[in-house]
Amino acid sequence: MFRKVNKGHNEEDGHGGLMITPLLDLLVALIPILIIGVVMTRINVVDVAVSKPVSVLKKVTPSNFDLLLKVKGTEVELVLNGKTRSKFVKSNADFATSLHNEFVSIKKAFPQEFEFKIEPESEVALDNIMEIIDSAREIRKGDPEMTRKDEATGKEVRVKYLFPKVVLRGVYS
Amino acid sequence: MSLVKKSFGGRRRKLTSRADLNLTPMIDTLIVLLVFLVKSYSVEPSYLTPTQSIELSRTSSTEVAPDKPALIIGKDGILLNGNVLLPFVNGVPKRDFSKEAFIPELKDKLESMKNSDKNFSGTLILQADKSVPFHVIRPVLRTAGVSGYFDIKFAGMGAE
Repeated sequence: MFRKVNKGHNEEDGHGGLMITPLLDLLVALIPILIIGVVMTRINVVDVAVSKPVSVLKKVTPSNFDLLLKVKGTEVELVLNGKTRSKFVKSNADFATSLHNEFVSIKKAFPQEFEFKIEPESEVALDNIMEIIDSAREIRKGDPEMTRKDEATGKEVRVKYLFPKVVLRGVYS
Repeated sequence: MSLVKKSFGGRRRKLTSRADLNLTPMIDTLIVLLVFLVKSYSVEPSYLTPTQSIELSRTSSTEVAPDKPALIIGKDGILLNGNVLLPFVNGVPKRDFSKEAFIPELKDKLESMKNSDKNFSGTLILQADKSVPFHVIRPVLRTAGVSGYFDIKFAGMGAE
């Protein structure tokens, strides 16, 4: 900022002798540029793997963890290792929260796992699928802290994500 | 500006005053606006823009959409890079393709795109209306898989 050399103007006039015109010019030039560049809504993406038909799979390695969510209309059935663990109804007010809490408790038991499968019925809307994927993605505020063993370093690291890997089942059936 | 003030004694006295604008509130507003805009400014490129005919689901994902082909499933139909491939009537496909192994029109377009793309990675962004049922999405995903697009990304409105 520039302090104007006293040329005829009194120090008491205006803004204590400060030339604010360059500052105003700068602000007025910057604001339209920023308004154009500002992002109010951003489109983000969610990675979804599509399970391949059984005939294509050459070798299926058995796993001790298989988390499947069957979505039938407004009902969500959570199946862990082939056994139904819990059921949720979409119309309940705390649907997303209780589903998320269930994912947290499963993660506690299986901290090394990151993948879950989702099998929606034909009439299930995309919004329902996205809501389930969202509730399974990451640890939220208020969730208990969890650690898992990092395979690369062998050290205990804080778990940030629950089940971010999504496999969509029933596409080829 | 010059003002004439009448004194109690009845004598007229000429006062000189400068009509200075008080710029402080304006500068305050501009600075607040500037801070807000700088905070919201993004230097990351955004390759996807919201489409009027579709309402996307919300997502907490922070993964930005890459510069890859986008397939839109809206109420008007299935669009690929802005061109309508399969029109819908009242949100329902004109032709029922839910039982088909793949959608031939879409397969042709996807394969020609794949062949013309030197940096083909198999990524396809699916921008679908949140009310679209899975039986409409399923044949689209099957077709994408048959055409070599295995990396599917569902687009959603970020929480920003």
